[in-house]
Amino acid sequence: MSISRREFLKRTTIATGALTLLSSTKLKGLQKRNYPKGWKGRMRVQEIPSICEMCFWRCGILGNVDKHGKLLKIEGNPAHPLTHGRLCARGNSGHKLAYDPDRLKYPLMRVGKRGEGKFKRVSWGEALDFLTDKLKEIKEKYGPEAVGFFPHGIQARFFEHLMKAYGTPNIVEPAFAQCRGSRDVGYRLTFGNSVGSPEPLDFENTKLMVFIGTHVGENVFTGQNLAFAQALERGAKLIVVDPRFSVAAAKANYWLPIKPGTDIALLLAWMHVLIYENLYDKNYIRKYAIGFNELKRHVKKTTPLWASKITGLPANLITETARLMGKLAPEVGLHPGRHTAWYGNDTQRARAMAILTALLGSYGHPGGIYLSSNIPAPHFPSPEYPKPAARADGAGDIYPFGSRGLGITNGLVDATFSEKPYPIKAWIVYSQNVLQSIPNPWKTKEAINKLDLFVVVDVLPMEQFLYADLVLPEATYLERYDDLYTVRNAKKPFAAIRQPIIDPLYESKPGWWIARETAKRLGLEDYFEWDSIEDYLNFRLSGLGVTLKKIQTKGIVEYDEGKPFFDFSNPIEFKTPSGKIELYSQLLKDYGFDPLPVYAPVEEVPKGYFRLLYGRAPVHSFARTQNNEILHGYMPENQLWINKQIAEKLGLSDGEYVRLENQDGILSDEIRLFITPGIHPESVFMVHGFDQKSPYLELAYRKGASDTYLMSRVEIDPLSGSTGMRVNFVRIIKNGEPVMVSGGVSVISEFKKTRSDARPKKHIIVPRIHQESEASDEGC
Amino acid sequence: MSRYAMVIDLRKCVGCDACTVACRTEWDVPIGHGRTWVEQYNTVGEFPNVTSTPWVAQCNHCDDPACIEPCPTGATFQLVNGIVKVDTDLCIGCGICVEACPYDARYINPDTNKVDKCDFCEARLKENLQPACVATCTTNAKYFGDLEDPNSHVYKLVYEQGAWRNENDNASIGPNVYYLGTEEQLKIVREKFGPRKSRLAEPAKVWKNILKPVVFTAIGATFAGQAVAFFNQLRKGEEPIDD
Amino acid sequence: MHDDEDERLLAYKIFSKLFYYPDEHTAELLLNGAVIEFLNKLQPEVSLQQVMEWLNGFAGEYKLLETLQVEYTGLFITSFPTLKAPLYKSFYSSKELFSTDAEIIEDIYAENNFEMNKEAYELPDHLAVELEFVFRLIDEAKSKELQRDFIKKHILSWTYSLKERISENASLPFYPYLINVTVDYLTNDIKKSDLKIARVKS
Ligand code: SF4
Ligand code: SF4
Ligand code: SF4
Repeated sequence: MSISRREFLKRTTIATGALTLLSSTKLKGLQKRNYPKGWKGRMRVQEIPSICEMCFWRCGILGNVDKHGKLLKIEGNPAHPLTHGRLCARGNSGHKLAYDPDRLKYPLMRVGKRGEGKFKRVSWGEALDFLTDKLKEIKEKYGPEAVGFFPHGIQARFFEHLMKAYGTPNIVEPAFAQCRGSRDVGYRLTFGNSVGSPEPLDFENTKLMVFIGTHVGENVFTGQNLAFAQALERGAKLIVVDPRFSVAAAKANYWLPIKPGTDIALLLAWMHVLIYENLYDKNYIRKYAIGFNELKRHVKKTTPLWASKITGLPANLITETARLMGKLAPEVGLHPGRHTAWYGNDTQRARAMAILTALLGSYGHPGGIYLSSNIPAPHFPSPEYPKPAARADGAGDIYPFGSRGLGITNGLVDATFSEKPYPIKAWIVYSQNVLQSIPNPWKTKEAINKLDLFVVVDVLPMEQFLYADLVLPEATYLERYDDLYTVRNAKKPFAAIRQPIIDPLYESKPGWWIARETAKRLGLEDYFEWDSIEDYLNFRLSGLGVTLKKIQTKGIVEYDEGKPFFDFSNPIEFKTPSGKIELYSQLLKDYGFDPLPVYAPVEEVPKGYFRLLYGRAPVHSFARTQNNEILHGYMPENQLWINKQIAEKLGLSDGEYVRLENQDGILSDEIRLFITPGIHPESVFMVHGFDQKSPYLELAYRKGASDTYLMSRVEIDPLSGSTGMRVNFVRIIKNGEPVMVSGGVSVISEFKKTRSDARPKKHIIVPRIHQESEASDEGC
Repeated sequence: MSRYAMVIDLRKCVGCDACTVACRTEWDVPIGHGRTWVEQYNTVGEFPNVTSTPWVAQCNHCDDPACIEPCPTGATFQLVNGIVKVDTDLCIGCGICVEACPYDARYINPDTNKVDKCDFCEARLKENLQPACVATCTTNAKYFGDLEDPNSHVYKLVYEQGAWRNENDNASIGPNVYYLGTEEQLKIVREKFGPRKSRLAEPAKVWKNILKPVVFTAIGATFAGQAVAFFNQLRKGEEPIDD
Repeated sequence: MHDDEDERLLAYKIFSKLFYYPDEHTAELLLNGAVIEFLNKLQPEVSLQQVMEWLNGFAGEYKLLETLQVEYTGLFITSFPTLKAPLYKSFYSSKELFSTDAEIIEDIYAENNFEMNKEAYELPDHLAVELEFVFRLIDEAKSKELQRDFIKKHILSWTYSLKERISENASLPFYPYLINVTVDYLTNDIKKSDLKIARVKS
C-alpha cells in the first residue's frame, strides 16, 4: 500500500488503530503465480484409473479430468478383469458425489444439545485434539474396550488398524449381521470356508444358475451382471426362487414364487428328489463328504408333495427343477445369496443351500463355485496389537458362530444400550449409516444417547450426523488413496489401487491421513511407520513384484497363480473339523443346534397385513446414494409393490400414496403404490434405503418410506447373531384408515409381542478356528 | 461406405439404466430428459403366470426419417453413414421434429433451447470409441456396428439371427435400432412401445414444399421469431398464420 | 479519484475478510469500532443499530468468535434443516458445486496471473475469494472494465438471491447487515465505474 493511501486513510475515513489492524488482515484464497511461457491453463486433460465406491464392489473406473482438475465423467476401466470397462448407473454418476452441495466440507464440532444440529467449523488440529483427549480419557477411566468402532469398506482399514492398536475389540460391520454373515457361517460349517465376495460362481462354464432370493440385475454388481447375461446367451438355464417377479425371474426358465419364509422346505424337498431319485453326485459325496446317511434319513419325508403344501409351489414343479439340477450337475451355480438376514433361521438355510451344492458336486468344480486364491500382498510391519478385553457384542459367546473379525453391530448396540457386559462410552462411526442399516433405529438412538462421545467420519451428513459430537469430513473415493484392494475371489486373482482422480475438495481428508494424524496424537505412531501413503502401497505391492508407479496408469495388477478348482485326482482336505464336507455337522450338534437343517414354520402373516420384503434397485446403493443428483433423478423415492389382484380387492390404484403401519403401530412416511401381478399376494416389497431422515440431505430428505424404520423387531439367528428382518408385517393406511377387504377385520392381538430387548442367555464358547477371524475386503 | 446400426438384446438386458446414465454424463443431458431411456418393469399377466421385459430405446436413425422433412431450417439432416443429426446452429428450437418423430426420440433441451437427441455418439466414433451406452452396458446387451460390413457383429445379428425392427401401422420408416428378444418379450414391446402416429398437422408438409426456401434465407435475421411462432402453431395443428 | 480507489481497496478487503470463516482476527476487526464505522460510512443507509446492539453485548473476543463461527457454520456450511445460504456461485446457477461457472471464474483468475491457494481449500467461486480477487485487481490497478464485468457477472448475478437467503435464515443481525452493505456497495460501485468508463470512452 502506498504512503499516500495511508495518509489519506488517516485523514479521512478510518482511525489509525483500525488501519494497523486492517493492514495485518491477510486474505489467503488466491495466490500469485508465475506462469511459464506459453502456459495455457492447467492442462490436465487426462484419464486416471481408480476403483469405484458407489457401492462395495469396487469396479475399475477411469476418471476424465479437465484442465481445472474437475472430474467431468467416469468411465469403466477396460483393464479390470471382472467388469471389462463397464460400470453400472451408480458408478457412472460418481462425480456427482464429489460436487454434492450437501457434502461435509470441514471438521465440525457440536455446540448445541445432541440432536439439535448446531455445529461450528473447527480446524483439523482442534478436531483431532478434541478426539484424542477424549479417547485418552476414556481409556484411562473405562479401558479401551469402552470404544466401539463401526467401519465400512477399505477406506476404514487404516482407522481400524488404529483402533486395534488403541486396544478395543469392539469393531463391528453391518456386512456380517445385516448382510451375509449367516451365509458365510453356513458355508463355513459345511465346506470349511465361507464364500466371500464377489460370490465365486463360475458362470462362464455353468449350465444352470439357481437363485434363491438373489436378484441379479436389480442388485447390481457390474461384473456379475455381465457374467450372468453371458451365461444366458450361452444357453445356460435359470431357476429363480423369489416371491417377487424380479428381473432375473423374468429371464428364468423356472420361476418359483415361493411363500416367503419357507425356503428350507423347498431345499429339503430338492434334496429328497436328488437323493431318492439317485441324481446326486455319488462319487463326490462318497469321496469328500460325511453324514450322507443321516441326511438321507433326514430328508426321507420331505417330499415335493410335503413341501408343496408349505411353499405353495406345485409339487411337480419342485420335482422338475430338482431333476434339472441333477441332470446338469455338477455344472450348477447355486448362488449362495448375498443379503441373507431374513428370518432368524438363516444359518440353517445357508447350510441347506451348501448341502445342496455338495449333493450336486459343484463346489470347487468348473461351472459351480470356484475357490478363492491368495494374493501375496504383505502387511506393512507394525508392532503387535495389545491384547484386547472380551468382546461386548456377543460374537463368539452368545452367538457362538458370530464373526470375531466383522463383529455383530446389533450386539454392540445392545451392549451399549444395556451397559452389559460393560459400558460402552464412545462410538466412532466410519462410512456407515447406523440408523439406516441396523434395524430398530429407535434402540440405536437410545444407545447413542448413552455415549460420552459420538464421532462420525463420513462424506455426507447422514442422519447419525445430527447426534454427532464431532464430525470429520472424509475425502470421497475420487480424492484419495486407500489401502490396496485385493480380490481373491476371481479365477485370476488381482489387486487394484484407488488413487486420487481429483484433489480433495474443501478440507476433506483421506482416511489414511485421518488415522495417522490421530495415531500421532495418541502416541501410536509406531503403528504407522511409513513415510507416505505411496510408500505404504509400494510395500504392499512388493509381494506382487510391482511398484505403485508402474501400475498407476493401468490401476490393476493381475496375479497369475489362481487355483480356482479342486484337483480331483488328489485328496482334498476341507477346513472342517472332520476334514470333509460336513453334510451332518457334529459341531452344531455339540453346541445344541440342529446338525441338519430342519424346516420350522415362521410366523404367519396376520389377517389384513402383509409381510414386508425389501431389496435393491440398480440405481441406488443401500441408503447411501439417494442424495446423488443423477440417481435421485432416476429414482427419487421408492415404491411399494403390491399384488394386482389384492390391490383390486382393496380398491387401491396404481401410483397413489399410502402409509404403512407395522405390527407395533409404527407408521411410515408416504409411499407410492406400484401395482403389479409380479409379487406374492402375501407380501409387499420396497427398495431399501429411502426416507432419509437427515434434513441435511436436500434431495433425499423424506422421500419415500424407510423399511428400516418399519423394523421394530428382528428375529435373531442364534448361531450367527444376524438379524432376520423379514419378520415385520405392515398394513396399508389410506386417509388415516387401515385398508381392508370388506368384512375383514384386522386383528393386531394375533401377534406375538415384539421381542423384548433382553439378550438371549445361552453362553457357549466356540473355538476360534470355526470362525471368521479376519475382516476381509468384502463389503456389503 | 457404412450404415451404422444398433442391436439391443432384450434377453440379456436387465434394465439397469447404466446406459442412460452414461449417455447423460457424456452429453450433459438434463435430468428429466433423455437421449435414451429404459423401462425396467413391464410385467403382464396374472400372478403367478406373468411375463415381463425391460425396454431400452433411443433415436433409431431411420432409413426414411420422419423428422427431417418437417424441419424448417434444415437443422436436422442425415449423414451418409445413416446418423441423423441436429445442427444446433441452425436449430431454432421450434420443436416440430419432436412432434414428427414417431418414437419420441427428441426433446428440447431447456438449457440451450435447441433440440437434442441420440447421435450414436458420433464424436466418440471419431475417436474410435464405442458409443457411451454400449461401452458401459453391464450385460453387453447393446451392440453397435456397420450393417454394410458382413463381418460385423450387428450384421450377423440382423441378417442371420433376424433381429427385429420396431415398426407398426403408425410408422414404418426403417428404424436402425434392432431388437433381439423372446416372442413373449417382443409381444409386450409391440403392445406397449410401438411407434405412435405422427402428431403433425397436414400443413407441415405444405409448408415444407412452398415456404421453406423463403424462411431459410430469412431465418438468420429478424424472421426467426415469427418462424418460431409459426411452427409452434403448426405443431399444435392450428391453421398457420397467413403472412 | 485516487482517494476513491483507496476506499475501494479497503472496502473489498474488509468484505472479503468478513466472508471468510471467522478467526480471531475477524473478531478483533468487529470489536474495533473504527472498522464498523468504516462500513457504516460506506453505506450509511443500511441500518447499523441492531448490529451495534448485538456487538455491544460482547465483552471479549472469544465469546464473539464462537458465536460468529456457529452462525457462519449454520448459515453457509451445513445447515439445518437444509442448506441455507451457501457462498458458492455454482450453487445458485446450477445447484451443484464446482460447476462450469466455477471453472470460468478460475480461468479469469488465471488470465490475471492468480491461482487458488491450495492451502486455503476453497473453490474459485466462493464469495470471499471473488471479493479477494477484486481487491487484488484494484491493488494492481487492473482495468476498470475487467473489474466491473467481473463484479457484475460473477458476484452481483447471484448475491441478490444470497441476500434473500441470508436475511430469511440468519439468527444474528451481523450477516444480513454485511451482505446488505456489500451488495449495495457493489451495486453503487459498478454504477460509478460505468459512468467513469463511459467518460473515458467519450
Ligand atoms: S457395481 Fe456399480 S456402484 Fe458398485 S462398484 Fe461397480 S460400478 Fe461402482
Ligand atoms: S446398460 Fe445394458 S442392461 Fe442396463 S439397461 Fe442399458 S442396455 Fe439394459
Ligand atoms: S427415431 Fe425419430 S429422431 Fe430418430 S431418425 Fe427416426 S424419426 Fe428421426
